[in-house]
Amino acid sequence: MNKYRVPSSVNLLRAREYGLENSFIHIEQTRRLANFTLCKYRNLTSYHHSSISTMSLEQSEYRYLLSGGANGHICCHDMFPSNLVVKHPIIFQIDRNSNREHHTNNICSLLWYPNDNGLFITLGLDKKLKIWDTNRVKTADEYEFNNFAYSAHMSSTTNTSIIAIGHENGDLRLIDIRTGSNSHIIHAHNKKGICLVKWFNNNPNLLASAGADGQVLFTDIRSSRKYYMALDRDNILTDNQQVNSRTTTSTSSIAHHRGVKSLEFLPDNSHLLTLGGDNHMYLWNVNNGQRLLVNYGPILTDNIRIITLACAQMKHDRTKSLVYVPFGKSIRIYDILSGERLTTLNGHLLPVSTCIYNRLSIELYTCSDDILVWAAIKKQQEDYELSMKTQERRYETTRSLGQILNRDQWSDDEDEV
Amino acid sequence: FLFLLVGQDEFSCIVIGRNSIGIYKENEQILEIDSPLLQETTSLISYCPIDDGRRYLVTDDCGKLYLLILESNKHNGSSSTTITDLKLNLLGEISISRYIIYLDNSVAFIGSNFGDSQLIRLLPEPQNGSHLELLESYTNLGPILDMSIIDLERQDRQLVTCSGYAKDSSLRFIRTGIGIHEHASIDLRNIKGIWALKIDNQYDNHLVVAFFDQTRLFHLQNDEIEEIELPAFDFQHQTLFCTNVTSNQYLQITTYSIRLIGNNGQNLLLEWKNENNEITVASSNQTQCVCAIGNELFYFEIGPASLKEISKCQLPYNIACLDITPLNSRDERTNLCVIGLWTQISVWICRLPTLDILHRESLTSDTLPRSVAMITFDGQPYVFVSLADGPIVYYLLDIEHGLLYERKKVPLGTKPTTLTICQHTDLSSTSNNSRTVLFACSDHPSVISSTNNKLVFSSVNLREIVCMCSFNSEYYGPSLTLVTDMGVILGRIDDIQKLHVRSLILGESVKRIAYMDEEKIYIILTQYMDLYQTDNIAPIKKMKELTEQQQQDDAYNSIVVLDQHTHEAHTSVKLLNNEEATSLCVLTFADDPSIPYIAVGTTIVFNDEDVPKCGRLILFRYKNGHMNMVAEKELNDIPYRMLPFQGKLLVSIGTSIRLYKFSLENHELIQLSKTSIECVECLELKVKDDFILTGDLMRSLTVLRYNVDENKFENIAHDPHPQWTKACEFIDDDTFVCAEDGGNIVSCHKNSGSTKEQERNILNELGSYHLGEEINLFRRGCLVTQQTSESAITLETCILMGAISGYIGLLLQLPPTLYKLLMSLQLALAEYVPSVGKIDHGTWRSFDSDGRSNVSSGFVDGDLIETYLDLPKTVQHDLIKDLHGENNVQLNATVEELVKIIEELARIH
Repeated sequence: MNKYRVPSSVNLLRAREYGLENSFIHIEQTRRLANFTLCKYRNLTSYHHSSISTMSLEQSEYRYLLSGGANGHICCHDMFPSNLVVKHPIIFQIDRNSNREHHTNNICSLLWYPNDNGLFITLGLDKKLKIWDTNRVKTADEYEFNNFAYSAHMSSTTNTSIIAIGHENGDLRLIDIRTGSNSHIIHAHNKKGICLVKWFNNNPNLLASAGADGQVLFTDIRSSRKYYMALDRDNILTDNQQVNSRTTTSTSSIAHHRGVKSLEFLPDNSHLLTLGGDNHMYLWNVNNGQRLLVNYGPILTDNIRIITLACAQMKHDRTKSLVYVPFGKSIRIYDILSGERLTTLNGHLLPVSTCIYNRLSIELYTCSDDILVWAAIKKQQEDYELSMKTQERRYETTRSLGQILNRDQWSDDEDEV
Repeated sequence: FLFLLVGQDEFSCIVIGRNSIGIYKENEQILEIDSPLLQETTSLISYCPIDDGRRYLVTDDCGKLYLLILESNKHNGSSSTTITDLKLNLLGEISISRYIIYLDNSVAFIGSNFGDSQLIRLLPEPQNGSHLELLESYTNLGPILDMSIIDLERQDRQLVTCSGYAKDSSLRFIRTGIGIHEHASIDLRNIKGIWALKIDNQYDNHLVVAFFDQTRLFHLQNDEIEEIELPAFDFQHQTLFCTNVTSNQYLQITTYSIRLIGNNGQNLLLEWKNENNEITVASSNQTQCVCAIGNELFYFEIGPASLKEISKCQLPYNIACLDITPLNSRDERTNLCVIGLWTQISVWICRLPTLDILHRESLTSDTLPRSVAMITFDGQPYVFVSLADGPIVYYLLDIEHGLLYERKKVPLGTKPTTLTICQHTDLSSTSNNSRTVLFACSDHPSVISSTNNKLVFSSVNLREIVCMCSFNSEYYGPSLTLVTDMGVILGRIDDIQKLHVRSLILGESVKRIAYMDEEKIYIILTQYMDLYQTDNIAPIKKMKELTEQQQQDDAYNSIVVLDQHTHEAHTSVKLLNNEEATSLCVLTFADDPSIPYIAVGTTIVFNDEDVPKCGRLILFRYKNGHMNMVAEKELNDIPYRMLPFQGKLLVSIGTSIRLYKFSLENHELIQLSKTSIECVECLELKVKDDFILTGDLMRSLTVLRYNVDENKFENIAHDPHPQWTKACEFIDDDTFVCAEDGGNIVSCHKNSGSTKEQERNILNELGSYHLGEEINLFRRGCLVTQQTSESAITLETCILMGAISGYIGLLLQLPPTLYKLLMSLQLALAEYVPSVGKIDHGTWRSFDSDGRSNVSSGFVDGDLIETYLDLPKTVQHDLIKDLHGENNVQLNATVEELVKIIEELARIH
């Protein structure tokens, strides 16, 4: 925890005024990162009736949050402004009642187009991939597959148009949305299927995919080979200097004993975090495929199919990196490089599936059956509660503090009545 | 902090740590320096090698300069040397440096972020205890922590900035005009004209002063002035012109006659007079002389003891003014004469000696020409005409044909202007070259000079000048005599620059400044840090009783009161230990409007605390050099900013904004209201009428209104985007500007007219622009004052901004049509003008913050626009040939209009 201590805010502000501190923003972010509390007075207009399987935050304004439910419903919230007391409105929703082109089954992947927010991509268990025009909320293009697809991803580097899709039969499909071709298939994994695909952050040609058998493979889509690296949890290949891992394609190496549930590249582009069904989280060096021996302890993943981790890494100091890991009904915060567990965020009533870190407003969005917002606003929230309390007292009501707080917390429901 | 220098010859390197220096060699022990100069608190900043690589200059963060010497012994018989010892010597004190570069001949340049950059010479022998000699220092305003615009007398303004850090901290007084250094003054009133004469001397030593019906002669010897009468001079009439002419003779032209005087003023050699009429105007150079009697013009040539009437002619109207100054100052004669006429208001050019009329230029104005002058700037001859109601019209002059072209008009004063050509020597320039400048004497005296083929009009900080002449005195050096309605001033003017900066070294960091008009004092918040102190500079405050205490504390904050004129500290108040002053304002309370109060917000900082938890508001009253604490209020957060607001005190404290009133009975600050919507950290606060603009640490702007009846803050509008705001300001009621951490500025618009409440509550981003400067603050106002009503721009919306680098920028709201025109011109210019480092203008100016980027919009780059003035004529034409606005609307503008607008814009900064 001491790693995330920063200088006193007065000193920091003074240093900024004198031009002595160049990474003011990052230091302030660090101050907030490890101190998240639940924003009790921020509510998203409730929409989902089933559990929420995935969310996606748009990357150009960090403003619009897409969430997809287990019943195929999709909804978009405006996450601005990040005030203390606010109700975030729904921008649009896609469901049976509002949109004929809706998904009928669980939403597996939601993707915002990386370059702007005029387009987003949804993948459902109804074997359909849809490309949407955000402004009109209409599908621009649609792909239907013969097999189930569990994951889709699009590279975040500029000028890319290729979506990678992982199928249940182990096929890795590439779709170029510019041309509409969807025929390119890489048979990288075995028949147990692919759980997750993720493009590298900094390279539009490299792809990581994780199988249900616990294999994590790195593929270069330009090359004819199925993959160029397979992650090995025992570091057999990478520890042994004689064997060059890039040339050997041993199929025996696995990253996890059971299916991989999460695959997340760190913002520094040289580390990868994987979370498996074997309740382990591993940190990998992307460049040589070595597993870094960081012990995070067992992480129970329960029965959630795909988990999204949120990583935050400070630009001024790469060692200050955090990961927010869904852990049953709570969210655990770990320091990535040391494995130290910092805090646990409690607030959800059902198992959490997705964490998303908004680095612009320094907030965390998590979802189970509802979406909660976490931010470093403990003091303000206390001040607010105090001012509400004194206000209540002024009106000479005889309610206890508990009742008041309770009322505030659920004011959302009252409003709806 | 680690610097690595690789030694030559062998595998070794010098490592300079924060407070240690060592040599690391391959397979050998570390050789570390052991010097009493390197203490625990020292932190070395920069280094540079001196020629031979055996000596290094090292500087630390307190502004000390050290010399690091590597001692070595030569191996016998081999060429390699081994370094055996390191030595560190203290050379002296410099500005706190960022970089140091050794140039040559023991001269080094010190680049400083916190003080003036310096050029120093290293001396082999110490002088006054220092091995350094300061050759030159380069003004640096950064970092600007705070600034205040102060109205002086006569519509003049001064900008005071809090600049620098630690021992290099200073107040900088910035003015646009040229200051006068007075050497001597003579109490004489009602002077009509003044001329300098060299009588029996190579320097000017006599002054001829003309009054309405007489002339007086003064002799100046050293600093003594006495009135004398030389027999050959005519003291009974008003002198119109007087000068030294060829072969050691003097020419005095009075209303009565033209007198050629020789023999050091003893003999009258020749006299020419017209019996019937008085001479009205006259002008002369070394060998030529013209004078006018009504509408008759006479031309004379002057030789040794001869004054020959060569020609005369009659013009249709009376002559108002004339000039025959040679265009090249080395010449003794000219072949052009320029004349201004009455009635048919015009300027005529005639050929000398024949007096043929070459050119007639009508002045198209209702007022008379008062004075004309021919002058060459940068090889381009000009004719300047001053009009009776103040403005100056100038033309380019074609010497061959005597043609005038390219008329331009500049408003200067409001009273008749007299133009005088004089010699000016810059103080700072090392070469003693004087240059010719034109002095415009009026109620808004100005010096007209030229830099890079552009005319510069610099106003002189004097009330009113009737007439003047240059006076190259042996005793005072090159000077000017300036005649005001109060008397004659003998003095010299500052260098001709746009901005003049004077600094007041404080010796301790200054953070905030406020000005109290009633008492004419500056109040500053300073921070004394023992660590950064040196013996040479004493801190500004003069608290004798506190000297014993000072020894215990290594850092403390104080409030200091300075006199506006003398800059002397009247009094100072020291704050508690660990207490840091954060905000300051001067205000009067509605309940007690007679006395101004000083409010200071402080916070108590413990270094192990993440966020300070307590602070206080202190209220002072200042009277007769004493600060009396009137009230004090404990706070639980940091008071970031304070402002007077409707006779109350508005403070942004941590996450909220609170309003206080002052109760006279109890001497207590009473909280009236507090915002209900919490922000993260409310860093900036601005007020306009009822409206309050706040800038948040992490969020963008919020606009509030204070409702007096309900005693409540109402949330009017906010910008929903997260943004690391540093400073903000009102442009007008509905438009706001803010600076964010990434060096960008953003303007926001409030949609007041909208019918939907949701739209009204949102601030829309209007424009964004990458400035590349870390703005610390915005201040409304501008250094120049509006001079004429006819200009297309108003200065009401002017905003000055101060940045860490010492940059001071000016923001001005443009009217829509002008904006469209300049924006399209900017696009055209960006393509034509080669950019620095081939970085595309659009790319450079596009908004780019951590995680977010956007194309630049809504801001016109003034620097780029002004390059238009320097372009050749043909290019200027080509560029605006097809200017398109939005939607491809053709914008019609002529080069002349555009140049006029841009020159006007250039003049306001």
